[in-house]
Amino acid sequence: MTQNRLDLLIESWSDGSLSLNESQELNDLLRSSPEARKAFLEAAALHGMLHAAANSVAIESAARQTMPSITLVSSLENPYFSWRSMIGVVVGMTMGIVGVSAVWALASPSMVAVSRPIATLNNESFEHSSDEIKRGFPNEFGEWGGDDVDVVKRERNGTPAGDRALRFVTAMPDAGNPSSRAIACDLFQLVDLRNLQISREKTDDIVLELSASFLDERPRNRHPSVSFFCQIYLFRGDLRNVHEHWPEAISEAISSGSAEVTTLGDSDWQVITARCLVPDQVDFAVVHLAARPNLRVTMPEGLFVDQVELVAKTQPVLPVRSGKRE
Amino acid sequence: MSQTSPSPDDMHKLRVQQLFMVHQQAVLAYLLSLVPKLPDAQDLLQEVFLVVSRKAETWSEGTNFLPWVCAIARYEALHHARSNKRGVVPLDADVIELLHTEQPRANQLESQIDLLKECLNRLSPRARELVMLRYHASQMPEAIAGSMNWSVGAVRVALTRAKLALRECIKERLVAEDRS
Repeated sequence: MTQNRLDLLIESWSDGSLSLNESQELNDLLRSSPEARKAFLEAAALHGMLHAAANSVAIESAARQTMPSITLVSSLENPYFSWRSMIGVVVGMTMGIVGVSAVWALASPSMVAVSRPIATLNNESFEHSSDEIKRGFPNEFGEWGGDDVDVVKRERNGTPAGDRALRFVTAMPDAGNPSSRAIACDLFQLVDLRNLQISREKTDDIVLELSASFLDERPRNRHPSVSFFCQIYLFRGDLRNVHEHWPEAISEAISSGSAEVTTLGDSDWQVITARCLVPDQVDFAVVHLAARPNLRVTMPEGLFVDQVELVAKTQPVLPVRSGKRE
Repeated sequence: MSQTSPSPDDMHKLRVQQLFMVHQQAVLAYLLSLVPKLPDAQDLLQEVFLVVSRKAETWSEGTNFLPWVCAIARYEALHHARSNKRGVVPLDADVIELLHTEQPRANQLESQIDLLKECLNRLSPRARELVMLRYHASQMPEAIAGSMNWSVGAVRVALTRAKLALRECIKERLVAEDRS
């Protein structure tokens, strides 16, 4: 076993691409060699820290290039706002309306979760032809807005819901920074979450789940690969500040969740779900959907999203699991 | 609607949750050293938050917060490795336990992330771009290879070298800090 071989096995471990044989090879090596364990631990620690460091460097770099400081309501008084999330800078926006409806329970061996479709997006399947998709980041609840997109009636491959779907057309620069590079086609909706607090039980843990169906109908193995993103950011304060300072306002999010899938064409509709814990006293959410070609090229044709859903799941306080292992 | 004052237990739980938010990047970094794929580590982070919230009473103000949370995070990661619920852990559970027998040096995580930021800015432009594509843009080596017109193997080798350079840089900075 050479050091180079160990390095490459560790690199494959870090990007999740170890084959079964390679996984066995690495396991055997780590069992038998203290030196390999030491090298692995150092590399794994670096891998873990690099996400935070790279995101922080990118945000600091973007901040130097662009915006004034951002102040949200109560930001100085609220300890959550002292936190700066290291979230990738992204652009776009949409809106939603909150309503309360039925409650049902899902049972599993370990817990009882209650799922409430408590936050309902407006025009979640793009079936309302009268609801125009506005250009730019939205400034009101319940409207979709973002980059160059259109809603089309589909025949081939159908749609997961209704007969219309939204098509990603062109990536555009950030609304707040027209000179920035356009890397993704973004879509946003703002969702009012204040009712979520009213209906919240004192002891509930609440998780918001944002799911969306994406389709890449290019021919199979078509380059560049395209990544679809489904992201949700939670905020306290005044949505006008977020509107004015997007995407830098992402650093003021008090919680967030993200999911992505990468395709090379010929995909069926793929559902991805982003999950986000809801801290106390949240005011609104930014729902963000995007398609990003993984090369600096114009947006490929044939990229769609449909059936966007936002639900709140709560779970009552569970018995504390023992930290002691048998 | 009338409101009652929060109890001391509620205030303590809120304090613990706030501290978690402050330190969550370090906790995520620690989880990624156990579970390398970002979405899996993010899922585990949320589970750790729930456990930390429920066990808030077992942490006392004035004691080290991050080591306490990382110990919980380590247990949660091992729990998932043993049950292999998600099929996402490429290392066997006994190997993970062998690797992580010691408590994590959690207090060093945040200072080392700061050092790493400085070291990232000292990499060559090409190496820095590569690392940023991998760790900021979350692109896999295959996607990076396509965009840079390299082979996937060449990307992996270059990433390995860039990370070796970063490790050396951190060691140098730690030695320099010790001397000063």
